[in-house]
Order: sequence, then structure tokens, then C-alpha cells
Amino acid sequence: MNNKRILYISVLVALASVLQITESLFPHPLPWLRLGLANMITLTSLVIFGFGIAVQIAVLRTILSSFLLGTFLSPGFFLSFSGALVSALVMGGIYSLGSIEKSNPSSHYLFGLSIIGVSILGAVSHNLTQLFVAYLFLIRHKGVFLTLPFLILAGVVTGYVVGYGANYLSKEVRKIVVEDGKK
Amino acid sequence: MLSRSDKILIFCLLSLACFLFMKPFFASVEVAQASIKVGNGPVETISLTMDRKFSIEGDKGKVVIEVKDGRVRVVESSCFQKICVNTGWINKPGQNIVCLPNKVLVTIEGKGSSKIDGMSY
Amino acid sequence: MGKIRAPIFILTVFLISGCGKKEYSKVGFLMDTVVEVKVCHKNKTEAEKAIDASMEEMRRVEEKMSRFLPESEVSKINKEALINNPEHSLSGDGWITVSDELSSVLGEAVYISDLTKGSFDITIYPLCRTWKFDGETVKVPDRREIVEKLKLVNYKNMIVENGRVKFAKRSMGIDLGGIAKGYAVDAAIRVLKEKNIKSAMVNAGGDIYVLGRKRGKPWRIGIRHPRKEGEILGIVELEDKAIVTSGDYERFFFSEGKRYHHILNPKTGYPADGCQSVTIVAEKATFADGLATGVFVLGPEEGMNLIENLKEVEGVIVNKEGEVSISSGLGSKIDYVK
Repeated sequence: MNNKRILYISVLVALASVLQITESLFPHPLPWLRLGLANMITLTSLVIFGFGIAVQIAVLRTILSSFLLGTFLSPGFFLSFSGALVSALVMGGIYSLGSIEKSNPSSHYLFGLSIIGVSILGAVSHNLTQLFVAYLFLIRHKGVFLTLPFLILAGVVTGYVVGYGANYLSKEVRKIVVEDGKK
Repeated sequence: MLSRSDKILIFCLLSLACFLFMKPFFASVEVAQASIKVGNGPVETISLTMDRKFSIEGDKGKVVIEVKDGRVRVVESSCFQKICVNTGWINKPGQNIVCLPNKVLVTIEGKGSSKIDGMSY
Repeated sequence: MGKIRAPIFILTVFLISGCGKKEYSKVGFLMDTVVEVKVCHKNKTEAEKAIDASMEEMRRVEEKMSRFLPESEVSKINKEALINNPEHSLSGDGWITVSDELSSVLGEAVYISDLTKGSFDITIYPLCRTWKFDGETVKVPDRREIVEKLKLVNYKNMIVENGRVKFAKRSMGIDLGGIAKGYAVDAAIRVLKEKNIKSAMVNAGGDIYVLGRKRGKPWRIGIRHPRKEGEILGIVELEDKAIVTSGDYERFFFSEGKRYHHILNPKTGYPADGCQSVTIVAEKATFADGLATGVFVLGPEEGMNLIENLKEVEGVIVNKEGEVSISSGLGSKIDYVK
């Protein structure tokens, strides 16, 4: 991997961490309704740098954020780590399995889903993963599954928002990377 | 912006959320509880989460009930045949212990598997 | 495309979840057993009132027909039968007045006695008093006493006419234990119907009547396994039917390793030993109750023959070896476990 790449990736990890930390500083009346803004970065990296890199960025930003917040290895950390990892894998999987027009990030992927569809699936799988991890390791009470409908709804809404943002973000970042590559 | 597949996906997910909202799959959310009826008195509900032993007054005298590990049983009874005591531990919804001489009925609450609506015996 | 489908889908999901009928039930101690009344109804107040009324009715039936309550009509009849009885003549005095309600139950009992060739016999009262199944006695009565009392047991020595009954011998009497619970269940159902209930289950110590369907599907009633505690022999799906079981495991005591249970054979004076349990499905619980008792005493072969010959009656018999036989009409409705 060339140095430019490492640079871009580091910046993206930093950006994602900032987004995650900032988001967590906002008051959250509904704990399951997280915007997941950092996922915008995950999606963007997926489109520009591919599956592997995107997953690494997702994992790294989770760890970095938790270092900075002082929550490393806490229950919350495991929740966000597993959620970020699984959703990155899901989004990456759909992206990789589908057909891509490299020049146009907003083209259609697997099953005709656009980047928004991918983002929604990522958000929903993020929430579901967190629910399962919480059930298995934190609250062993079947009642937690009553939040399923809300988690799915939240996933659809936030996934849409994040996907929309990622669409524009990825276009801008692509411009920068391509420009840079030409130099 | 939204492709056709996206719309289908959103519709499916929202329907799923609606469905799960109407019919919670994990309806066994209820806390483990048992109901106790003595004679013509009201039904008292007790939680099975705390271990304890206590006695109640039946028609013939004392009946001692024990709760342990989410299960319940009749430990001692002032009746003659002690069928209630011999029933042992119960913990599944629908199961019950009866002491007819004392007019005591202990039933595990909850829907459980509800394979049957009633038992003929 | 999507605009019409979504609301229809949501509406369908709503409808599937039960139309707003909820289940209400109450449990009580009546007739020396546990009684449960379950009702499916839209309105909570109406449902609870109906349940209370039906339980009150069962209490009224018990107060009339229990031989243990000194003020009951049955006890009064038995008392009168002691003093008001010509020993050697079937004519003239000796008539005891009975209420219409009791008259009809007595008539039904005689009918069942005829059907079961005397295996069901409510004049078994003197024998019942000798064998005390009160939950405290573990003594087998003296054989001589049993033989003596047997002489007083024969339904043919009881004459039932509208509004009155007469016994041919002194010290005869009646015990409605084999039929009164069923009658109480029928009475409770009658009250529920009067209160506009369309879906209910009345369970008096295992004597059951299911009214209507439960949320669109027939009621599922399990038959208790006669030997394995807590296990089910099979599940029967029923609507508007009575199902009653007579078993040797309900009231009994052990003496010298032998089980003595409360279903006595009116001809031998001892507990009937042909069956472990008999379940009858019929149109009325009164009939099902008496018939179950009678078939239990009649035995597995003759009993099943009788069931097959009776229209609108089905049953399950577990013989003393534990072998199960199911009547031909029940096959489709029963979910046989073993």
C-alpha cells in the first residue's frame, strides 16, 4: 500500500472517530436511535477503497473512539465494536457481490440496491447485532426482543439518512482521490 | 435517488417491523410467577425470582410453600394423604399443585406452550 | 404499487391477532374439587359477571345434590328413605317428593343404569358410606358388611316418577357422585349461555364442557395419563361437547400394597378393576359423567361396545394393563400421543 493511501485511510479513521465521539456526546433520549454518522465513512471507504479496507476502517475507528472516550473493553465498547464490524461486513458483502460501475458510486449494487439500500441494510444489521450481543452477554431477558420493531424502524430511517450523506461524500472524496492520483 | 429495489427493501423492513409490533414473538416476557388460591379467597400472585419459604392457612391447618430457583413446591401440609407434598416441584406455566382438604391451589402463571386449554381427568 | 398494499397488509395483521376477544377465567373450590370457568368474550365486565353467575349456579347444584351436606335435597331424601319405607311392599306409602330438577337427574341416572346394565347405579349410597374415601381412611371394610350393604344396592328397587321417588327397601339411598358434577357443568353452561357467552370452557374436577370455539378454533382438551403424572394421553379437539373422565387415580388409598379407588362396582361391592380410566365425549356433561362411571365398571370390552352402539357418543378406554382403545368416531378428532 502506498503512502498516499495510508494517509487517506488514517484521515478517514480519524474522521469516523470524530463523528462517532461527537455523536455520543449528544443527549440520546432513545438509546437505540443512533444516527451512526460514522457509517458514512465506512460506506464511502467501501465504495472507493473496497471491502477489506472499509472493514478495517470500521474496526479501527471503533477502537480509537473508545480509547479517546475511555470506554475501551467496556460493555458499550463490545456493543459498538460488534455492531460496526457486522454492519461493515454486511455492507461490504452486498457491495462486493453486486455489480459496480466504478465511475459512478451511486449506481446499483446487488439486487439493484443503491447505496442507500446498502446503508439501510448496514444500519439494520448494526442494530440487530447490538441487540443480540446485549442479549447474550448483558441482559439475559427475552424481553429485549420486544424492541425489535423499533430497531428495524430506526435502522431504516438512519440508514436512509446516512446513505444519502454517504452518496455525496463518496463523490467528493472520489474527486479528491482521483485528482490526487493524477498529480 | 432510491432505486426500485431500495423501495422494496424499505417496504419489507417496515412491514416486518409492523408485524413484530403486533405479534411479539418472544411473548414469554413474563416474569416467572405463581398464583395461590386458598378456599374462596382472592388469588394471590407471587414472584418466583426470590427464594423463600412461607406458610399459609388452609382449611385443615398449615400448608408450607417453598420457592427456590424459579420453582415452587409444597413442603409440609396438614392434610392426611400429602398428595400435594408428593407432587414435588413445579415450574412450567399451567402446572399446578392441589391440596383439596386444605383448599389450596398453586398454579404457575404464564402462557407457556399452551398446547391444551384444559385437562380431563 | 406500494401505496395500496401496505395498509392492506397492516389491516390483515391486525385482524389475525384475534378480533379483540380476550380470555377471562376464574378458579374455585367446589364439590370437593377444583373448578375452573374460562370464557372468551369482548367485554370484561360481562365476562366476569357471567363467570361468577355460573360458579354460583354450580354452588347451588352442589347444595342440592351433595350427600355430604345435611341440608341438601339428596340428604333429605336419604333421611326420609330411612324412616318412610314399607319394607315389603312397593305400593301405597313410601313416596318421597322430589323437585323437578332432581327428578330429571334421577331419570337420567336410571336411563344410564339401563344402558350399562346396572354398572352405573346411584343407589350405591349404602356402599359409599361403608367405604369412606374421605382422604383419611385407609381401612378396607369388612367383607361381611359389604355383602350386607350390597343387598340394598339395585336401581331397580327405586321407582322414579315425575315429582316423586320410592325405594323398595329400608335404608336404601342415593349417591349422585357419579353424575352430579356433570350436571353442575351443564347447569353452569346454561347460565353462561343465558349471559350471552358464546365461547367458554367449564372444568369441574376434570368434567368438562366446551362451548363454541376458542378464537375460531376448536377447544383442545387433554386427557390425563392414568399412570404418568403430568403427562397427556392425547388431545381431543372439540366444540359444543362434553368430555368427562373417570379414573382410578382420583380418590384412592393403598392398603397392603393394593390400590382401592372410589369407583365401586355396584354388583361386587368392591372397586371396579377392569379399567384405569374411561373418557366419554357426548352432547351433555350429565350423561357423559354417568356413562363414564358406568363404562368404567362395565369394563373395557363391553364398555367400548356400548360406546360404539350409542349415537353421538365417543370415548377412550384405558384398560387395567394400560392398553388404550379409542372409539371409531373419535379418530379424526384426537391427537393421540402414544
